[in-house]
Amino acid sequence: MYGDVANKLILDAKRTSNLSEIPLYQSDLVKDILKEISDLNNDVEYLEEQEQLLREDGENTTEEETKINQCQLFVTHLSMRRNKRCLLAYEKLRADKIDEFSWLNLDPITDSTKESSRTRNNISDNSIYTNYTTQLALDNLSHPEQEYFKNYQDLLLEYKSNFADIDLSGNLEPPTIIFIDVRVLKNGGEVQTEYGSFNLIKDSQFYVRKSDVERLIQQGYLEEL
Amino acid sequence: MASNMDIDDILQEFDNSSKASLKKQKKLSSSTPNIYDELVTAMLNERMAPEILPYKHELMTQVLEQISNQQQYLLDSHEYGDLNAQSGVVSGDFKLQLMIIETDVERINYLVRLYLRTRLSKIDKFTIHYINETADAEESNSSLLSREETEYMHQHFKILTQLYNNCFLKKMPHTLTLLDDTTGGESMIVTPDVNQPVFIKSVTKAGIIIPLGEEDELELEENGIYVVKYSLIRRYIEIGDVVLI
Repeated sequence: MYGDVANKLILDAKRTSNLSEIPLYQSDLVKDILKEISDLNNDVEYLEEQEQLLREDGENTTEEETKINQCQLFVTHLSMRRNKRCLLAYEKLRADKIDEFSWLNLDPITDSTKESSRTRNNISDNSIYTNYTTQLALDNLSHPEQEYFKNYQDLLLEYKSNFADIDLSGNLEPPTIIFIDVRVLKNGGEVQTEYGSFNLIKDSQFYVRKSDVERLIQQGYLEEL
Repeated sequence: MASNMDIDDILQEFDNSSKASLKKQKKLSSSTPNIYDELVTAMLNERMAPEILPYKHELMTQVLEQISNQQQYLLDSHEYGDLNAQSGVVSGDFKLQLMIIETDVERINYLVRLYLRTRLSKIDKFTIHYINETADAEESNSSLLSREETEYMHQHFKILTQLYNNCFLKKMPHTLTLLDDTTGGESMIVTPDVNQPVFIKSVTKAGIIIPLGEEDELELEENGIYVVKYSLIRRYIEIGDVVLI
């Protein structure tokens, strides 16, 4: 049935919308749908030819025959458009999720970091980030998507540079306190803040300004107490 | 009991002094409208309106300037505090004062962040609609979008189209490659729904009368809270007689 493949794609998109990461790009499905569209396009051309013939042969065609032809043409056109919409919806959802992730200012998962990322689930536990794209594996993106991800990051950087004093990717929850207690979850280097610097040594605790360490919390270096 | 009295006295005194300073502030703020309140209103309006509202050019320039001033002041003060910490010139209150300023800057920062992010999310949602809308708008202090937003919108649309093209559009028949297709019975341009109901509060002394069609009308009294279609009160939001809540 025409449209079945597109349906599968939409189901995948529906599943994706509730995930905190972007699943593998469905290149096979997309390819199938594109093939279906070009098949349909051939049909359209054929049907248009038929119609032309019917019209030329005006005397011997019944009204019913023309109607059948027109109907076929109409449905084929609709199927093509529907397929296109499904493809666009699928891609738009993925793009939106890429945007969402870019705003968080995190590093995407590449092959080398894959193992370590398994164990860390800090952000997804955090209630405000539910349904938010908090993980992104570059391997799951198609090539154009990877390119888009890079472009969007550049775009964000450019936009944000206009507002130097505002931390635009900061938390969208209203701030309540400015200083918090944090515990270090894994070793890292030295961190510089306005109030001096501290070393990331596992299991040590600090009293620091929240906006200074927000990114470190997102990255899983620190845990708020 | 004696200690209780003491506390009451202190509270009383504090009350009086804070009232005095409040009065002073009021005098000050009557000459310059309180930009903090304006910012809160602008942010709330933007958050609740289904479409994007005109960018608050003047307000934003002011706010950004003040934030950067405050931050400079904080930096200087910290330096001053560090330098004089040993000599005992700086009292414990000094640090507390700085903390209070810092908390306030952080809160304003949050308001601005929310304001700008809300606008961006609307731009992302209705990209093609706003591209068409602002096509022949000149850059001025009353334009719908700020210069940065316009740039963001066009750039984002460009890379999105690029993505679609690379993924599948270029492999489709030519008749199907349009993104702003309005043929085929349905417009493919997403537009904001201006008939969405919104919660509003009237803040003007003079009552506003809104015609509801069929000779019905609704009078908005001061401080009254109503639910109406957004399109009906749109122009009152612009002049500030009505705020969204």
